[in-house]
Amino acid sequence: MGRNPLSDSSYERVAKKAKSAGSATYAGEERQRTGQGLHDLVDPAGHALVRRCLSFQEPKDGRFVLCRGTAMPIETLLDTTGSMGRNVEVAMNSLPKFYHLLAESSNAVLKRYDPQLITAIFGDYLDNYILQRSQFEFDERIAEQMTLMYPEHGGKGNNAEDPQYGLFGAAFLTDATITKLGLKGYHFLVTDEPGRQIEIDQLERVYGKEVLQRTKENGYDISSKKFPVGADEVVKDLIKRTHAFVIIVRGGLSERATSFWKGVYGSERLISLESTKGLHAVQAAIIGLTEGTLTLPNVEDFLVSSEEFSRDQALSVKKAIMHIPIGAQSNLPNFGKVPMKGAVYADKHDVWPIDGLVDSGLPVDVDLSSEEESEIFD
Amino acid sequence: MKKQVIVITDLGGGDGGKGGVVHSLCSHYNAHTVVKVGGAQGSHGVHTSKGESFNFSQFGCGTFDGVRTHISNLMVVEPFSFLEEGNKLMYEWGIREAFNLVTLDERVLCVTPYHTFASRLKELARKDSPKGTVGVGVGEAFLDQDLGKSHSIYVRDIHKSKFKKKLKRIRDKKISEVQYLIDNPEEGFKEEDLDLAKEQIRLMLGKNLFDLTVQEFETMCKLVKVVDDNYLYEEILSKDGMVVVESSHGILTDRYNGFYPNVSRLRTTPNRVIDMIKARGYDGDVKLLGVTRAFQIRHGAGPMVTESSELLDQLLPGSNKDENRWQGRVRVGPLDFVSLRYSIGVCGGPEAFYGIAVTWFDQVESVGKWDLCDSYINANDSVLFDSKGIIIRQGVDEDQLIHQTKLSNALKECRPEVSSIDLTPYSKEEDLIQLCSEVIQDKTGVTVRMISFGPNEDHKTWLGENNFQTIKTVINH
Repeated sequence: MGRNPLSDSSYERVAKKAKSAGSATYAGEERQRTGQGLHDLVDPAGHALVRRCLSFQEPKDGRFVLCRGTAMPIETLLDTTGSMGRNVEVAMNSLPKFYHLLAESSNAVLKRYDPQLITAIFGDYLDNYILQRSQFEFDERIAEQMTLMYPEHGGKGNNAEDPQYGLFGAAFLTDATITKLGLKGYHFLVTDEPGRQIEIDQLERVYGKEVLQRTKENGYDISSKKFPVGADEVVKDLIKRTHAFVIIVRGGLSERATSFWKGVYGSERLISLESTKGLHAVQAAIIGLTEGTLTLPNVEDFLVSSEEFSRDQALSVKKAIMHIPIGAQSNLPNFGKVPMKGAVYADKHDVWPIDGLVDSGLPVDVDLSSEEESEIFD
Repeated sequence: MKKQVIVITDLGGGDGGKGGVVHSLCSHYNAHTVVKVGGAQGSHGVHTSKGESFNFSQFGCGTFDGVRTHISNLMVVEPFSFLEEGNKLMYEWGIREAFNLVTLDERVLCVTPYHTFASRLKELARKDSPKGTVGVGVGEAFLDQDLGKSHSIYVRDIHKSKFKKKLKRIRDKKISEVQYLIDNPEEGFKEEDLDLAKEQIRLMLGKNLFDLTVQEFETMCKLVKVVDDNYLYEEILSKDGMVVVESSHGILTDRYNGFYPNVSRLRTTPNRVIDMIKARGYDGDVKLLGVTRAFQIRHGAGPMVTESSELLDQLLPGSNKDENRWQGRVRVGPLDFVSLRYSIGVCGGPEAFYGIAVTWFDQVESVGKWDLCDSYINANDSVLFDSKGIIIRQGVDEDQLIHQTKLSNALKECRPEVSSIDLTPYSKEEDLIQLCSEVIQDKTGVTVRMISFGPNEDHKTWLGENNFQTIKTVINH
């Protein structure tokens, strides 16, 4: 049978189970009750730390065929502390709609790619788990792995949370085909609190003692002497490899969060929303504007067609996102050379296919040396 | 691209280095499919020049090369570890399409966790006379087939209404078989094994195990393509190019020709594989390739005439199997031509072979001498031995097992006559290749086709490449 992309029926199966168990994260909660700890699939230290968003190439007649389009990573790092505690539930409920807007609808914003999603949730360093991070998936495993999560709903009232460990993983413990092509994936941090610095002992608590070694194997040489490291420094690296955004929920009420994250991401990557309602549609709209598959004149229609917003609401969302770097992906030199589904590679490990590019131009050699260097850890 | 099937057969106890040979064939000759036969308990190590390193069990050793795996009906699968292996390949090694590369014959027998735990408890209950098992339960599931199909789960049963009914029957039977041990652990097990045994009992009786088993079996069938018996012939063997058959175990652990009782429940000789390939008039070449290390190795119990503790200190055993309670320790010794000739004879003699792949030659090179054994001392029983070595008896009955038991006992009394070749004059790799080829050809009558001087495919030299050349030209991208 093989694996099929997230479809309503496959999702329904997982969602139904979650519903009958009374919680989107029933499996993770059950594991905690029975003392089993985090499942390997959502433990940031599980499965050798690095999360891989790689294109599917299947062998055919001595060559390799790209069977699902170029893998496109979309990581959402969710605050699940305090008032943000229902975020996994929200993300779970909107999952098929999100995937639809990314890959399947007539105006899907990432139609030419194979969108693969990671959900990560973070808490506070006083929690049992500062971070949980799933694997990149395109099918019902996205939902299945959400059920394995264990949001602690902590938020110890210490005026900050700890998303920076998730940002570290996204920046340095991710391996993606798209970056080898000279393009970028997407990263969204959703929070209502400021963050803090990365401490090496907490980093090792999240990812295990071998974290810096694994980071090195993944191409980034980071010395333990550099710590503590600020969230702003990690985000500088994250932005090199992803179109990264921070979404501040109820930003108007959280001046401290807004001011902190503006300093980290810059104002053009900071989005302020009233609530998480329709969050997935907002993310899709941001991606569409960055990819050039949406434009400012049609983004409002797109938001309305998502059935999450009224015309008035869509207008205010548009106002909240219109300052982002529009066309940032489509302006990259290799944007027109993304291998499409059906592209043929001579070797499994080749970055560029021998046949089946988007345009007829020869692939451009990408100099990754500057991309691969870590600015903060030079 | 001519059609050919390379059947890989381990000529020892199963630690010869099949994984590296299969990977090397896949990467050098662009094989299109690896066909798996044998048990789910194999552990075939693969190291690639790109830095990948993995112990394959139920996935083919060409997976890093993007080569498809077909799990044939001569394989026994264990779905829990199959899924774990696939997840590791997917998440840790970036083979995101790992499951998509697998086809699974619907006639394949499945090991359930109830077989696994029953097999472990029975082994622990043997106390100081262990049979030597990998602890997966393959043998347990395999033997239960004799009770009739209603006592076994085949891939085609999963998703059918009878699946749960069968699983319940197996659960109840396996638990009843070890009920005495469950009720009397203190009597049944050695004191040092008691905690381990109780853990197995706890897991076997776990209330979620049944549902979890159903879920894992169904997931396996969802992730891979389940195919009927035509697939092998119509979609794999009909294609131009190379197919590699990767078997678990070695000839010395064959159910009827191995050194009983330290044998598998499965047949490990290649004739069944060759029959399967030729069953519908396959018109390509079928080449039998034996695999041996440049020294003798055996994991766990079983006669090993050339065992040498001195060599154990000098050679890196490098077995891909962990030393554990189930399999015991790794033993090494001088390369045993008596045993090698026996294995070759069991498979039909030198003329049945296309060649031999010699692995781990770098290890003997590093020792500076190549220790070899060409005859045994104390091999006096004329029913069992002649001047050339071990007399081969073929049979699939109790008499055969009695004979093999006698042989095993006699081997335990044999001592090796060891000679050494000083390797220091052979400074170049090609000189070592020539030496190795000449010695092995002389002592076994089989041509050496590959010699390995290190872990990955770049360290493996294929000889007489013109046999594969028609394929090689295709892969020089």
